[in-house]
Amino acid sequence: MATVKILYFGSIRDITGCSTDTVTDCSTIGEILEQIIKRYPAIEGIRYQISLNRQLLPHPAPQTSNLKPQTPNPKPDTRYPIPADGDEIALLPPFAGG
Amino acid sequence: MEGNKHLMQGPIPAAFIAEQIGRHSDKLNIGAHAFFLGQVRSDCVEGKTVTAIEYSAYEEMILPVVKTLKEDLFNRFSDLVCLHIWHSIGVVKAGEASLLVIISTGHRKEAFQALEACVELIKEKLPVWKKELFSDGTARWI
Repeated sequence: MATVKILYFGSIRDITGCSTDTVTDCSTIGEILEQIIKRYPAIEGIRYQISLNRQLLPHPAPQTSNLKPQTPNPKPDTRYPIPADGDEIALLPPFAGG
Repeated sequence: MEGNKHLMQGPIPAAFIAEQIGRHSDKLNIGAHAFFLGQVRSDCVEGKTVTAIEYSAYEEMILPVVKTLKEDLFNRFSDLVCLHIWHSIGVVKAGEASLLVIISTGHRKEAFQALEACVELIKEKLPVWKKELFSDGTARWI
């Protein structure tokens, strides 16, 4: 069971009202996402990617800029690494630089 | 932004652009510079005018992403000598610059090609978000 740091960005920050969070007692990335969505159910309405320690995790569908979900958000995936204490996980809405 | 050489608080000043180009004069294998300057556009959305864009970034992820992006471009363009990227964070008003990319190559052809490839990669990979700020005080994420 790990304790991980969560970072929120872009429109997700408007939902959470904070930029950082902590999730405890989790053994998979899927459990972490479930805990976050339980706290902030509106996150499910936004598409996002996940990064673990600043590396994007693989996602089954490409992301393009739009707030409306057109592809499913990441679901608990057995290929995802097992989180360790102190890991940094970020929820990243579609990028919009430039 | 402390320690993040790719991010700049607020707009990118014109003098900064000139200064950066001038810093290449000792690299004598360069024959061409191509640069891209993104400027905040005052769009009209449902009757409301965009007055500025507020940018935010996952600052700690910018460096590793730019490193990978550079490796990719140096592998694809053998004539590439150097490339530099700066992106604004915070509020940038309409008419001000928010993204600067400078590509330097031996010859002009790859300068144009590498510049376009670089800007596309930035749009796709750089963890940056923007919020349009309207004249009536409202805002929306793009």
